[in-house]
Amino acid sequence: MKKTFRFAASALGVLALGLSASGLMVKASLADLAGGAELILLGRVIEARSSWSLDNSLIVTLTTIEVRETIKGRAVFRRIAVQTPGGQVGDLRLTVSDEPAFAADETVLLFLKPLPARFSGANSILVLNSPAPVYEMLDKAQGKYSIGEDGLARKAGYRLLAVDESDDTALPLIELTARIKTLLRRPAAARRTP
Amino acid sequence: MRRRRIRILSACLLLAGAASAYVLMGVKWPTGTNMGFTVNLASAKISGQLSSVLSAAATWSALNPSGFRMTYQGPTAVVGYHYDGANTIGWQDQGASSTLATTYTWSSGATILENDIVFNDAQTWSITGGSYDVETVALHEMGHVVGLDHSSSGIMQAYYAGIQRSIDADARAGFYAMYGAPAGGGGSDHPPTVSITAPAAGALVSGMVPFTAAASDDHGVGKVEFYVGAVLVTRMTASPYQTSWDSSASYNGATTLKAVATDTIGQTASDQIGVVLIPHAPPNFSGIKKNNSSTLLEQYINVLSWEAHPYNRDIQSYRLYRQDGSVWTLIGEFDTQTLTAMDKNVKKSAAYTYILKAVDNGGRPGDGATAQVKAP
Repeated sequence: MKKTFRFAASALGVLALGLSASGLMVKASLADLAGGAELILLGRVIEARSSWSLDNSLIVTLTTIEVRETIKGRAVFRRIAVQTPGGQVGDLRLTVSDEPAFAADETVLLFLKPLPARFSGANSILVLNSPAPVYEMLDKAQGKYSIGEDGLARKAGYRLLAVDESDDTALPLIELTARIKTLLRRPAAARRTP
Repeated sequence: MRRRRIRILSACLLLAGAASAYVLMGVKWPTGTNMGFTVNLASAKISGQLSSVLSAAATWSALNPSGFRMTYQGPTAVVGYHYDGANTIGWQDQGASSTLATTYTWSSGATILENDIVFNDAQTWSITGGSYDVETVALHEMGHVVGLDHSSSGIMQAYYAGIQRSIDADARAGFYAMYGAPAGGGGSDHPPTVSITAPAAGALVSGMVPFTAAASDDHGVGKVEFYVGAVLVTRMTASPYQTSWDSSASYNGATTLKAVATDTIGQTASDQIGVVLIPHAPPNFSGIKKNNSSTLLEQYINVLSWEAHPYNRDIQSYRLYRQDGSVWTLIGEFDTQTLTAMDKNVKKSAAYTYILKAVDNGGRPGDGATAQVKAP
């Protein structure tokens, strides 16, 4: 049975998350995602921790992913972490538009990029020391596919009722990864759609 | 349990395909809130965004002001997501990405405590109908401010789909579900009416053109927008709906003027007329007196020159007039390639005044440019 982070929080001693996706974006195609990501991986959600940023301006969340397969790039460690703005600390919750929701034990295919300097420099708002390399989502929730037990990869970063994502929405995982690999072999895949 | 959940999600997908329905975030402002907000425009790349932001706020606020409304409290130097008790809207470079704008919603339990909206300054923004339209994005983000999540269509759909400056019925229903409908329902609201009162249809116009409209609605007019062609001239949220169109940077000829009224629930009506912008006055029209004397003849001439106006098109000629007392005498009519003319046999010691007009293909003379030639 899949557990939400709210359920897992009591067991893991970490804070619960259930960020909804809201906001307005330009739609990124699969080619955009494949070309723009530095790391594309298939993995399993282990846990999430939320805390205040160092400057107390923002709540951020580190979600730990156990890497099962790397499709693009190189994941040196067995686990990586994805940092997203938003989360809940005590009674206070920050919901940030377009950020994806993660569920404990969820299998995901993620399009990731390194955390920009603003998250890791002297003015870092990174809140938790992570033993794993830290990434952020490419194009926020658009960079996430959730893999169901039926083997289908669903672009589930947004609520399922949200949008008509007829392309690449519910593909067999094997077909999705094949499409990504095909795109990566094309030079054009490295360029984002204008 | 797992399989059951998948079945439920599948059912939801089927429902989504059958009809759109608003989705609530699960948090909202207390009913009756007048949410004050400030705007930081310091880093924005275009001017005029404030009116677009305020128009979006007015559109939401007009749905049911007693249930929830937003009030502009002035400019701020703050941009961002900080939890500081202030609701701010601003522009910030969030890098090249698909993000147009981000809404940060701070909440406790089911109650929203603070909302901040950050527009991505790395995107290209427009307030006159181009992409990305500030008011459309502001209207969407403010939908999150009131507590709406993405829907499958309308203003609350997740992806930018062109200009939409009104609140569709689905989002409106979501708002009413959280904050209540205005007295009189909201479902019995009739569309507004609007008519352009000036200029008159078919009028010849030039310079600053008065552009006015009359609009009414059974529950109130939210805004009236004035367009020249497809270009938004101005947007007014209160009567009288009167503005002026500076036609100096528009091409002469037939032009369409349109007024669009939007009522408090996003219903629209429009009125459209055609007018004719007469030719612009030729720029840099000037003259100088020259001596054309020889041993046998002493002659003076006034040499006049001008330039073609960049916004004159379909011009057939230029007409040059000289003032003789109270009478304007036609000196000559010149083709459009001619940008200089001579007035011979003028007196050495006299000053002269000239007027030059461009004439369009319909024979309509435009505004006159004036030049004076003084005695040497």
